[in-house]
Amino acid sequence: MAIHFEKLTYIYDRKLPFAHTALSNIDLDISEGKITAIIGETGSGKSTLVQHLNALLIPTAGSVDIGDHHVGANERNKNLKSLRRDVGLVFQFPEYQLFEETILDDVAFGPMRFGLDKKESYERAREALLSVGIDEGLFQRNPMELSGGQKRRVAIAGILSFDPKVLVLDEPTAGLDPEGSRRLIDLILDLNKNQNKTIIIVSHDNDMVYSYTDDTVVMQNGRVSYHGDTLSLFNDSALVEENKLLLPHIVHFKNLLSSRGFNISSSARTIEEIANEVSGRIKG
Amino acid sequence: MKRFGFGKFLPLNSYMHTLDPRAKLVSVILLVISVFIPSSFYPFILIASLSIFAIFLSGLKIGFILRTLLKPLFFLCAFLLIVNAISLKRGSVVLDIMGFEVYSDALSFTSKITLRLALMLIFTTCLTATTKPLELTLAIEYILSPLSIIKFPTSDVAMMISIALRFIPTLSSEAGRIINAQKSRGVDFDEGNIISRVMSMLSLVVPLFTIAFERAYELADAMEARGYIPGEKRTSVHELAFRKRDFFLLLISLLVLVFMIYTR
Repeated sequence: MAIHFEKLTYIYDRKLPFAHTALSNIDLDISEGKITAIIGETGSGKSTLVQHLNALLIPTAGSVDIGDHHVGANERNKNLKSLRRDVGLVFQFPEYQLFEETILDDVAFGPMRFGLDKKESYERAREALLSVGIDEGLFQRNPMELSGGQKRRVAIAGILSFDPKVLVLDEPTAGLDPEGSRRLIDLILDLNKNQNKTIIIVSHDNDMVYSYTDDTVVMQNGRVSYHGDTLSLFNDSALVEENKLLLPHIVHFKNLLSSRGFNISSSARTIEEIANEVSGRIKG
Repeated sequence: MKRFGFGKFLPLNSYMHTLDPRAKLVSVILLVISVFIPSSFYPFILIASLSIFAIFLSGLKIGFILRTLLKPLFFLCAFLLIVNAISLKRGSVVLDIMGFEVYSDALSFTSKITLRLALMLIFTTCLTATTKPLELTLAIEYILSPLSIIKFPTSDVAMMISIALRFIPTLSSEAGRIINAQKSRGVDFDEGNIISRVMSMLSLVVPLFTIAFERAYELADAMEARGYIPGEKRTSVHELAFRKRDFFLLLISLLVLVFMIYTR
């Protein structure tokens, strides 16, 4: 599903004395089937932008098109439910949305709300839970008994269970231990590669963005200051500076290596890839 | 995301902001009682003009008060009017809609109730908009302090109140987040039959309780870590000072109350 923002502006508390423009005149196309990162400082408008993808906020001016769905300012926006079924939104700290007595019930809640019958909802819930790595043995447990990382994965399963075509994740790895974030990233990559889901990740972690995303959108003060290939952004120090970004540690490491005569190819994006190149060079 | 609503503090520099919280609190209590005393319309003119003066002294805008406070009241008023028109059949007939008679008592009763609620809202808003929650707690603690003679834990109660006040904005923003998250999962908060509506409410209330408890435990730990001992005598950084203007405010409120009782 292609996503297209057109001249979108959003103002909080429009009619009150402290009205605040969170997004101004955004024109943006997010490609289908890719992993796109949205980065930028706190308060730059990332979360506001993302909430438009689920019509949780309606534009003050302009519009957003997601596949066949259209949400515009001053229009009667119908069928929000079918939009929300196509775009799964995983909020920051999604574990707080768990409320059912058992894990399985909670994950089946979404599909049932979108009108699937009970049998199919539970079937999908099982599949989703297994796909995020929650064992059958835990299905009847209470969500509150789980660890932080497990809760997060159950919450994500609660979104995957209604099989959205686009998956939006707001700071998916925040507050997880390295092992937990590693598993979550593997899951996201797998969803993108094997189920061809369009993925949008809001993140502060530039290393994660550099290693795993195709495209990057940089937000600054409610505007888009860069949109394009992730590697070309971070490999160009002038662009990094211009967008007021922190250099990913991996890029810094690559620069250090190249200053010592080890030129690493610009497409190497993870520690493993760099290590392979270096060891190949030493052996050769 | 700042949002001004009922009960929030507005960091302005008005005359009302400089007054002593104890004086303001007691005055508001006196005035709110006064609002509920009169049975005829004329005394309301006095209190209403006083309330406009209070809005002016608090640095608030009348239009702003009308929009944020009195708009919700309008629906309540409409509802009351309908109920009263059906049930109250005293006084003279003022309106006859195809055989359905509306009596004058229904009109006057509804307008008095609405007026009272509106005035009460305005006075309390003038208090909360110009007094920091912390100051308000100090005032409550001070006013309750005579009760400590009978072993009433005044400082604990004041602490509880200030914590409760402190948590209102936090919990309301958490509620907003959970509502959004559940909407994304297909919950429709304003549609569906009774069962699905109860489910919708559950999907909000259960997480909210979880968060409230978690926050409470964290706060308790943080307070203990910073040396809070329940029931211990506490001193305050903020010393309250009672000045002439504060006496003046109390005097006016007291006079209003006496006047209302006298003219009833």
